[in-house]
Amino acid sequence: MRRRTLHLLGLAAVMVAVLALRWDVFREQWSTPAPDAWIATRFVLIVPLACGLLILRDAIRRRRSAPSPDAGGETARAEGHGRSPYRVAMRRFAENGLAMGALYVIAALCLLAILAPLLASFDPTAIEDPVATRHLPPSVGHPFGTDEYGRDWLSRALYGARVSLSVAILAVIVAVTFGTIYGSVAGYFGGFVDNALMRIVDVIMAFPTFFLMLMLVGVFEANLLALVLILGLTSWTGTARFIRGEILSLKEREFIEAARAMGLPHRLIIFRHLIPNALAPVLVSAALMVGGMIGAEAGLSFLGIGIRPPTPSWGNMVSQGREAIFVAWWVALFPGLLLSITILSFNLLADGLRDALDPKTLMRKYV
Amino acid sequence: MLLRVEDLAATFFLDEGELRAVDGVTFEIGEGETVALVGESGCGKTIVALSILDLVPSPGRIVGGRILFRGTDLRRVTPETLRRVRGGEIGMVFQEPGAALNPVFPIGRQICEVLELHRGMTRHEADGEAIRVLGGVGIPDPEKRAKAYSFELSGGMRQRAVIAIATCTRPRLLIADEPTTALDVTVQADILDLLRDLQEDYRMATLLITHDLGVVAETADRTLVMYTGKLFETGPTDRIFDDPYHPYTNGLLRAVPSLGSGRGEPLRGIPGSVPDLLRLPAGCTFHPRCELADAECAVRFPPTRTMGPARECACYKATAT
Repeated sequence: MRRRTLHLLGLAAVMVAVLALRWDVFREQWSTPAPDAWIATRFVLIVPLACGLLILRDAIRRRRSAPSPDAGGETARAEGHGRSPYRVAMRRFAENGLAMGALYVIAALCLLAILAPLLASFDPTAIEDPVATRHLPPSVGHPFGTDEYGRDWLSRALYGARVSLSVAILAVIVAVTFGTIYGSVAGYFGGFVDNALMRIVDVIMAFPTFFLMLMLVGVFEANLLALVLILGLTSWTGTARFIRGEILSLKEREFIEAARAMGLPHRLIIFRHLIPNALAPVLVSAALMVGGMIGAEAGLSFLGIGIRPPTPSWGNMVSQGREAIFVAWWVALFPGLLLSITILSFNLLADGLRDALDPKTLMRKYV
Repeated sequence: MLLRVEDLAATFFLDEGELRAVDGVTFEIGEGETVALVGESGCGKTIVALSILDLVPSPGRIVGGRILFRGTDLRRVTPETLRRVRGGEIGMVFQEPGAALNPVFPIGRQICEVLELHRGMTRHEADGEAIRVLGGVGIPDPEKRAKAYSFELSGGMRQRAVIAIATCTRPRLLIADEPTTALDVTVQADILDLLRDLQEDYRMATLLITHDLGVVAETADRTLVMYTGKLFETGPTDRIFDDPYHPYTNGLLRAVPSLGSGRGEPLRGIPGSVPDLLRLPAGCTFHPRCELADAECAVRFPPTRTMGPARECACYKATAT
């Protein structure tokens, strides 16, 4: 087994162990009924579990299909068998130091978010003694200081990471899924369908997205789920547009004609043949969008209409720091720093993905 | 009769005008028979093939005729039925094997997909069958190759994989559109042998589209000669090769360089070039390039005449010998 797989398996084992040992802490959150807590607690647990399962399945499959050393006329070729273009790209990605660094930063932030209940030494929402602990500067006890209500700012930042990251990632999943399907249908069927669907996109694009978000947030109850849907459903248009372009050129390729000649229904042609081939730029833009979404969520929360206190999010934390910037600089600085680091990491990740998934080199035999 | 194409016409509606790519083509293919469709590039061979499965790309469209497959007109069936025929009863092999395979799926999966769809197999059954089929088309070490991606295979292997996909459902008819054009000469012979073996094993008819007369001579029972969207001459392959009626067929045959011919002897092509399909000459479309043409040829396209047993020819000058 390769070293990287071992690393990942080790990490997964540690995670499982932590979850098992301190399950009491997580179970308490799991049973919290409020929708905000639902996303912030369950999603952050579901994601690593899903990733772990995927990695495990992949590792098992690789072991099973490991090329046996055989003497044949084409041994050199045979060694490269079963390596999909995406696997080749991921390999190239792993060689990109900056992008891998960004990936590790993101992984670390996610880990902090998941383990927030264990790492935070204070209740993020409890206001104990506002007079004694008000605006304490960073110290050993409170590494990020405290806010005007005397809440431990590090604890809030950890729980805020859950909210900010889950909202952004979920919103991107919503936007990319919807945009990809929408754009594929438009590009594949073409003609009238394409025209009608893309004119709708034009109309939505003509409307300033941020104001649309503001309006929708104003109209609907601003809980986490609503925020995810609002952010997601106002930002799928870009994805839809370029996926349509990709599909338009892909569908002229011979293997799509071949798929049609084999009698595949439209559904299978779109989902099995077109979308997987158009996925490379989607991944890049999804990574870029996560950065944008974190920014958008922070912006809405900063304006006081996104995540409402006492639920912490990096956005409303910065907003709270704005009022106290001259008396307690740490209140705005730390969440702001976390925001910048996260957005920067996602942008670097996107850059790395773009280089790795460059279609000109994607089909290169193998590294 | 397995397939009968009657008076097929397909037109491309371009900005420059209407391009008639296929014009009144009529032919038949019997069970298990190999029929070759030959002609120069751009004469509408591929469009005939695509028309059979109703796959003529936009802005082209079939504008007339009937395509009777086992007695039913494929132009009048529901999309659902047509989908079952495509891949299930009529398989198709494309010219460029690299481009006809999906680059992001292993070739085994692409066979499974067709088997699951047309033979109702489960994923597990299909996996096994795919490996068997790959072995059947002469791919060595099929368990391992089933997991290979198209860019990991050589041209010949790719074409074998494409043939495996097209024939895994044991179709009644295989349409092979220039199956050997993109391959090395040595590999060409292997692929032709493979097609012939499969055809015998599965009792499958083949419509072979090619511009390589050597391939035709070797494989086809009957030959259709096509030019500017029309059939010029049809008949049994050996008889056409021995004694071509149409001056165009004659020209094609003379243009084939043979290994035995003396060096330094000039190759004899057909003078002129294939006319622009948007500006076809009046009368017989071949008359500007024809040695025998006279005033009559420039006025009206010659009717198709029956010339002896199983042979037809569209030329005023053709005479049965």
